[in-house]
Amino acid sequence: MNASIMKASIKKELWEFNGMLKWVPISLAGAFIFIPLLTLLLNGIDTSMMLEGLKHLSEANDIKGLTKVFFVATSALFIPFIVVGFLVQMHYFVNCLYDERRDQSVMFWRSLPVSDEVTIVSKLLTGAIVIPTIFYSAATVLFVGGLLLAFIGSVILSIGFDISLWSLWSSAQIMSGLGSIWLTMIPTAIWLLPLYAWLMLTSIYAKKAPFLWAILPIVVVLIIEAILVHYLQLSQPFFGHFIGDYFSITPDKAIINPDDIIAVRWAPLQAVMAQIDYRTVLVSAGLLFATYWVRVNKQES
Amino acid sequence: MSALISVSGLCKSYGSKKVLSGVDLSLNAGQIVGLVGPNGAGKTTCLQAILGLTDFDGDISVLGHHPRKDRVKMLKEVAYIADVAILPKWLKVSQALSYMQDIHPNFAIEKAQEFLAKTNIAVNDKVKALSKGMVAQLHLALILAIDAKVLILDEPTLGLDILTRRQFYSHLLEDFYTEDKCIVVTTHQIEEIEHILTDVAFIQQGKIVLAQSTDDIRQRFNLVSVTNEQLPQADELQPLFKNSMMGLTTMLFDNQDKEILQGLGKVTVPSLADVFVGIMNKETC
Amino acid sequence: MTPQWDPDKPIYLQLYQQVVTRILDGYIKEGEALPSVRKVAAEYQLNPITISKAYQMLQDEQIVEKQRGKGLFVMPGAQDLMLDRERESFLSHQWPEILSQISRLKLSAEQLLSANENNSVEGGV
Repeated sequence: MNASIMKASIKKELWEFNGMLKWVPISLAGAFIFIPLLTLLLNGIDTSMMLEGLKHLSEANDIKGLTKVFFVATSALFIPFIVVGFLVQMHYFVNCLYDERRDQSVMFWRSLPVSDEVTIVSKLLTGAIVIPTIFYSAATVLFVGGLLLAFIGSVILSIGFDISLWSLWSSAQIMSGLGSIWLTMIPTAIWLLPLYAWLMLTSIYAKKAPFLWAILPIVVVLIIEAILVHYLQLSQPFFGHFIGDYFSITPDKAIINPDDIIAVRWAPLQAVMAQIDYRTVLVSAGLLFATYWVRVNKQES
Repeated sequence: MSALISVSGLCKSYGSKKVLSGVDLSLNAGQIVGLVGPNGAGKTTCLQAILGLTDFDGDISVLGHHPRKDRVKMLKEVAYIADVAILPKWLKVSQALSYMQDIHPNFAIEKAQEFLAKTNIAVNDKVKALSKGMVAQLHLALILAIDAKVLILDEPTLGLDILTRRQFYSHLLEDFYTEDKCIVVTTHQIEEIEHILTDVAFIQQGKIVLAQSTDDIRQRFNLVSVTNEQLPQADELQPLFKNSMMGLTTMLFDNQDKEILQGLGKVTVPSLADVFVGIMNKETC
Repeated sequence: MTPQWDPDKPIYLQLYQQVVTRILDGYIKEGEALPSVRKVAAEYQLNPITISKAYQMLQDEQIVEKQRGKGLFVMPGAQDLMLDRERESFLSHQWPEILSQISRLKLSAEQLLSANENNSVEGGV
């Protein structure tokens, strides 16, 4: 596979969904800036109380506690972006092979010397990696912006008010915190691969309303299974439990010592990696191959 | 001259419906072939099989490649304009040029830019902002820049005004065509491109009913204006088509001796449209 | 603009004739280049093979000559050559027919020559 053709194909995906991929992260980031600002303006700043609190902070001894708080704050910044990004990914996957059939441009694209493998892989990469990267980056930009403000604040505090927060900076372990969040992206992609592949398959197969085609079969299978289990007195609904188990990330998935900050930091990554199973990867591969097969054999105008 | 495209025994069914029933076609370099037939005759399916856009039974070889197995290699030298292969509305002109440059080894971006400079198309326009004629021009610009060896046009001028249609063919002839390329065109406006075609193939109900050069067709078929007295005599020669009006009957004959026909009335050369109508009627009678 | 072609004569012949007429009338001068096959094809909406045939015929009749890399140029003396040829063709093919038509209609030379000016002919001889 030619790298430049892959790059060009991913670029094309981004052009197609440009509006969504630009304005959603920007709006979200904007909300993150605008809402606190608004609250501050409305409620006013109690400067003396704030300085008191900051003085306490500079004298604090509970380094570990502080680091944990810092990491939690960073996550709190990233989580909305990750969640909204996930919704955007869902929208992308449901439509990535459907829109071009609906507007009849699929025959134009297929009359160009780009292989179907490259097309499918480029769409998969766009949805699984590139879109999350955009949202993670938006969050990171905000994060860096916040750091910058904090830095300026610290300078002002130490010069103007003789409050030194510099020890906090070193103990906050900013880079590790940020790094551990970014590292979850690829394992998350592998974990959610069956979902992505399933959506791509419905996207290329559905004649209308691909979103319904994605949801309804699953729901129908779950209902049928529940009925069968109930009436045949089977032990448990296999499929239902599997879906629930695979796609939920709960604290008990990663058993850690809450005092160990390093463990806390790596908990999300651990939880995700625990979910990955070679069997689901195989199923994903199967679904992707089915998508490829439909594109090569059944893509008729 | 070896064939650039050779189609042999092409068959295609959608479920129980047979769309192509054994099409044989051969296109050589320098030919401009018109694929003419009524709606539903299988023109679009035939072209899509040649492009590897649909699976098929039979043998097809395009520039030595199999359209399904060597799709990508084949498409580097083949270009396609169709009313069912539309440029997406969200695409910007600049994006189209950039994308083509990246994925097409033969794309000469300056050629496309030169062509577009002569139009009203701005480089930052989205396809949805362009009129139908301008979209056709954009598509043509992209095609001209590829400089493909084989050009497949499926109703390329559908819905365009006459000025755009004329310009389309002018550009095709002046900027694209050379003796080592071949063009396949389907269109409903056969009168318009009658003289542009070097060869024509009539297709009906999934089969080729006639495939010859336009020169040969003009020599083979004759149009005769027969008076009422000559009618029975003329009927014996089995005309393909008859049309009576104002005291004279116009008849279309295939492969008849010109001298015999001249004895029946005034003999003229039929237009391609006349021949087409005659052949189609003959098949359906 | 696309000219109206006579459907009963091969187009390449009509094209050949058009070039010949234009040379005779002086619209195309000796030493002048003919437009490229492509240009003519595009302008007249004809396939290039038709144009090539006409151009080949012009070459065979020694009306134009190919200059390598530059195209087809009207040969010097082409106008005179054309004049002679067309005269001969007219006198041997068309004139005898017209002559028999004139005698059939019993027209005098006087009537013939004045016909152009008045566009009418008085009866009688």
